[in-house]
Amino acid sequence: MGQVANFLTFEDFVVDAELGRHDITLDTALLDSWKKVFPTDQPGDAVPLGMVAIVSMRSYAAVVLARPPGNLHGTQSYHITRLPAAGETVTTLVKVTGKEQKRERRWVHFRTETRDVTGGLCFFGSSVIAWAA
Amino acid sequence: MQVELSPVTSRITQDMINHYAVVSDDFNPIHVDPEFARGSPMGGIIAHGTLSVNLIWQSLGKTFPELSWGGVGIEVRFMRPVRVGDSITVTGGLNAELGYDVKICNQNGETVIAGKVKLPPRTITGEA
Repeated sequence: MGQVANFLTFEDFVVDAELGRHDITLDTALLDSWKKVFPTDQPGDAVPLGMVAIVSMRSYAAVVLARPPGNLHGTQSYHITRLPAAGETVTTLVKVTGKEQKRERRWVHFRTETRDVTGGLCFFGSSVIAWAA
Repeated sequence: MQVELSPVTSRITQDMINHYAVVSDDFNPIHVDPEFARGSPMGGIIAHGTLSVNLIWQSLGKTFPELSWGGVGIEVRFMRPVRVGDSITVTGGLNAELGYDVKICNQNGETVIAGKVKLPPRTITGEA
């Protein structure tokens, strides 16, 4: 994350707002980078399963730029329709689906939907993040 | 029918976390900045939650090597932080919903991540 003077705050998020879309190509550089974390994850025809999280996180990071330091991950789900192949380009839509305050923590709910170049759904995910600002 | 998922264990290192920050583009200082992390409520560096979740994917891949993954879903809750040097192990058992209850425990037996895995029914029953 780069240096951002003004972080997004809990109050800035609008429920049901689309925050943006981000394209990612599952290229050799990205897969090689994955192997540095998990060297035994060998892609077959499809990318390693862990790339579902990587595509979702990179898209979230690209769209939600002004994240405050110290955010914490509360829950996460992923549902796969089709695991993309190495070399494919996919597009991920990032949305806010809810926000709530519980005790001292402010939680923001996000949904990501990742589709292939034909518009076919590859996978979607939901995350709940404790927002630090 | 597989009653239990194949367990997978990994020891988490700062090197893994740093590489995961690069591949995920998540450089939250709670993961990569020891000074910031020490002063945070976590009291030190913690691993990205989804780094640990990859052990669940690895366990599924080991248990069902022929699965094409369409129709697979996971839902997890991050219960406790995973710290540098922790050795974490994922285990899972068949539940009444014909999915798997999964948990990841650290070397002290504490559950750090808990959740469920949903698989296409034919995967578990062996139906064509």
